Amino acid sequence: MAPRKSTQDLSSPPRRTLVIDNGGHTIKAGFSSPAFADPPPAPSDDSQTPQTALPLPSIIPNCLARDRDKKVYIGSQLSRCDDFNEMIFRRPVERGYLVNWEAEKEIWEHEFFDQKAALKCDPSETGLILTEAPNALPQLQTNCDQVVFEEFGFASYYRCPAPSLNAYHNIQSLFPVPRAPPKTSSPAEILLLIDSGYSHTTVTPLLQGQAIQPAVRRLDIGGKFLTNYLARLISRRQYDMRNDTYIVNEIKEACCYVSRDFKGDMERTWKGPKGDRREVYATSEGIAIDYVLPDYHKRSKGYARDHDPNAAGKLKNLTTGKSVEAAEDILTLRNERFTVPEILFNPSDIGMRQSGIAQLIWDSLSAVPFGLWPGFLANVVIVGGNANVPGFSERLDMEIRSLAPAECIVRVAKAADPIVSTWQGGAILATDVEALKRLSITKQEYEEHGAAWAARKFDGR
Amino acid sequence: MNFGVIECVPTGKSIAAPGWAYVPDTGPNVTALQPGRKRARNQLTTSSHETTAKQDAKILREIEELQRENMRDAFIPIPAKSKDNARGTSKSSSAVRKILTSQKTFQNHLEDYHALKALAPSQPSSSATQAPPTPAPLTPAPRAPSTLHLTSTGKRSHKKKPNPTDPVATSVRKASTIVMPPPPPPVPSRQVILDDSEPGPKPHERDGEKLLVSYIPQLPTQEELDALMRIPPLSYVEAKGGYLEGEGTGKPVRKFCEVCGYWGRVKCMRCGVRCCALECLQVHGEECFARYGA
Repeated sequence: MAPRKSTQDLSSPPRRTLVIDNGGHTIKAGFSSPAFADPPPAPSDDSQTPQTALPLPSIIPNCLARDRDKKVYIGSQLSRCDDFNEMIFRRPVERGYLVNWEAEKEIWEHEFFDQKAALKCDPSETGLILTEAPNALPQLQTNCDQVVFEEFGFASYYRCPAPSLNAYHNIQSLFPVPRAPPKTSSPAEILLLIDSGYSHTTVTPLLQGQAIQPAVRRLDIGGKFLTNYLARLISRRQYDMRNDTYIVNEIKEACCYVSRDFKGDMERTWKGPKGDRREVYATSEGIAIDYVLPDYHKRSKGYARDHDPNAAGKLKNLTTGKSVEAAEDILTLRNERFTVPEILFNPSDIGMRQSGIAQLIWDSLSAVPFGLWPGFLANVVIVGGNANVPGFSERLDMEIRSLAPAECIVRVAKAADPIVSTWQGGAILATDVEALKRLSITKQEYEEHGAAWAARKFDGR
Repeated sequence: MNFGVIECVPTGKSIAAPGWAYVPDTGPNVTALQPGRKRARNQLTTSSHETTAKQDAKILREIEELQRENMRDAFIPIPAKSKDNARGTSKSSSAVRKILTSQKTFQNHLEDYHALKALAPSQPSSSATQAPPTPAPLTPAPRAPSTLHLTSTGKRSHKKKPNPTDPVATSVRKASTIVMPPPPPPVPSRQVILDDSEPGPKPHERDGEKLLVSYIPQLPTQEELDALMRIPPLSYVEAKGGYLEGEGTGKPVRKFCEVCGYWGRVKCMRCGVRCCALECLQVHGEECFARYGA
C-alpha cells in the first residue's frame, strides 16, 4: 500500500485528475490537469488546451467478455479478440447504473492500477471525477462512494450526473448560428441535454451546469435495446443472430438511420402484393443495403455495400463451380434500417407504453417554469452513442418544432463528438482547480464527516 | 370454469396489485383469455386498447427480452489469475467487502429501495413540483432510533431509509434530512453557482436578444429558481417518461406486419398477430398452426 499523502492534501488539490465517464457500454477515461505546461509524464497525448483541440479519452469496453473458446477478455483486452461469434458479455453497469462492483473493480484495476496499464495512476495522488446516470438509487451511490474512498483511496472525488458535465463545453459553438462566442462562464447558463446512450435515453435541463432534478426524464430505450431489436428482426427474417449481439451492433452502426419520411420509406421497401412485385422493391431507391457478415477467417469485420439485386443468381452460379465470393454471407436490410431507430421516437410501435423522445422533452419542460422554455428550446444538445445514427438530430429537431410554441426558436445540435462529449466536459472542469475543489470532496473530509455527508454534498444540499 | 377469478396479466390498464384479483365475470368477456377462438376477433374492443390480455403479456415479455444483455443465460466469473496483482484485497473493510461480493442485480436493488420506502408511508409521493424549499437547518428531525420518521416537511420520500440491521445502509443517509452537527464548510459554497445568476433573467440576456426578441415570457425570480434547484432528485421510477394514449397525441398506435415489417393491415384470426397481406399471413399461418394446434 502506498504511503498516504499527509496533511498537504487538504490545502492543495491533487496534481492531476482522472476523469471517468463510466458508461454502460464503454468507459471513457483519461487524465486532465490544470497545468498544461507541466503535463503528467505517463500518457501525455490527452493534455492540450481546451481552447484549441479538446483532449480525447481512451475508450475502454466496460465488460468482461467470453468467446467461443472460453477465453475471457477484460476491458481493453477485447481489442485483441479476433472472433466475436457467440460472444458473451458481463457488464457491471446495468440499466445505466453501476451495480456490480466485483466486475467493475476487476476492470478498473486492469485499466488504471495494473503495472502495465496504459492509464496507470496512484489513487492516493489522483483526484477522480466519476459520472453516474441521473436518478440513481441512493444505495448504489453510497456503494460507489465507499468503494472509491475505502477500497481505492482516491485523494479527492466528485460524483456527478453525466449530463451535467456537458455544460462545461462551449455550447454556443455547436449551433449553426455562430455569434461572437462569449465563453465567459464555464458551465453553460442554460442547456437542455439529451443523452441517448447504451442503456437508456435521458432528458436533463441544466441551469448553470446543475440539473433541474424534478424535470429529469428517462426513456428506457438505448443502444442495447435497439441492437436486440434488430437482432430479433434479423433472426425472424433471415439468420438467427440472437447470440451475436456484438455483430448485430456493428450492423446497426453501419446501416441504421432515422427516417425523415417514415411512410414514404415504408412504401419504398414494400415488396408489393403477391404476383405484383413492385419494381422499386429491387433496390428500394437506395434503401436496400447488403451487409457482408464477417467470417473471422478472411474477413474480421463486416461491411455494408449497395444492394445488388442480381446477387442471388450470381451466388447460384458461383456455388456450382467457382471460387471465393460464394463464401460470402450477406444480409439484405430494407425496412430494418429505419424501423429500428424509429422506436426511439415511437416506442408504441413495439407496444411499449412510453412516449417517444419528443414527448419526453415535453414532459420534462412542463416541470420547469414557463419563463425558461425559450432558453431550453433554443439550446438543445444531443450526446450519447445513438446521436451518431444518421438523421437523429434532424428528426428530433423536426419533432420538437412541431410540439413547441410557434414563438419559440428551436435549435437542436449534436455534440461534436457525442460519445466522448461528457468526458471532455469533465476534462474541462478539471482544468478549473477552484471550481473542481468546490465540487469535490477529499478523502480527509470523507473520513471526517462520513458517507452520509458525502451523499448529501453530491446531492447539492 | 373460472369462478369469477381471473388472473390479472399486467397490462397498462390493470390495477397496481400483481397476481390475482376478483373481477366481475360478465360472460362473453372471458374469451379474452382464450384467444384461440374465432369469436375473439369479433368481440367489442375499446378503441384505445385493442389487444387481448394474452397479447399484452406477450408484448411485455418481448420488451423485457430486449433489455437483456445476452440472449442466453451465462455468467462470466472473474478470472482467477489476476488475483496476483490485486492490490491488497486484505485491506478492504467489511462494508466494502460486502459491496464487492454482492451479486445483487439492479432489480434487487430497486425492490429493496421500494421495500424501504414502503416502511415510511406517511409521505406524498408525487409532490415533486411543489416541494417547498426548506433549508435543512429548519427541520430538526429527531435523530432517534426510530429511523422511520426521518421525513421533513419538504423532502420527498425517495431517500433511502436506513435499515438498522444493514451496516452499509446505516451509515448512508441517516443524516440526509437531519441537521448535521459539524456544518461542513463546502456545502454553502455550492450555492455560489446559483448566486452567479443573481439577476434572474441573466441567462437569456447572454443567449442573445436576437433569439428571444419575439416573445419573452415572464422569467422566474431568483427565489423561484433557487427553490427549483433545491428540489431533490426524483426516484428511478418517478423519472420514467410517461405515456400518452393514442388519442392524446392525435396519432393512433401503428401496427406492423410481424413477418415483413410493412404496415400490419390484417389480423391473424387465431392469434391476433398483424400481417400486411395474404402472402405474409400464409407465412405466419405456418408457425401459427404449430403454436396453437389447428
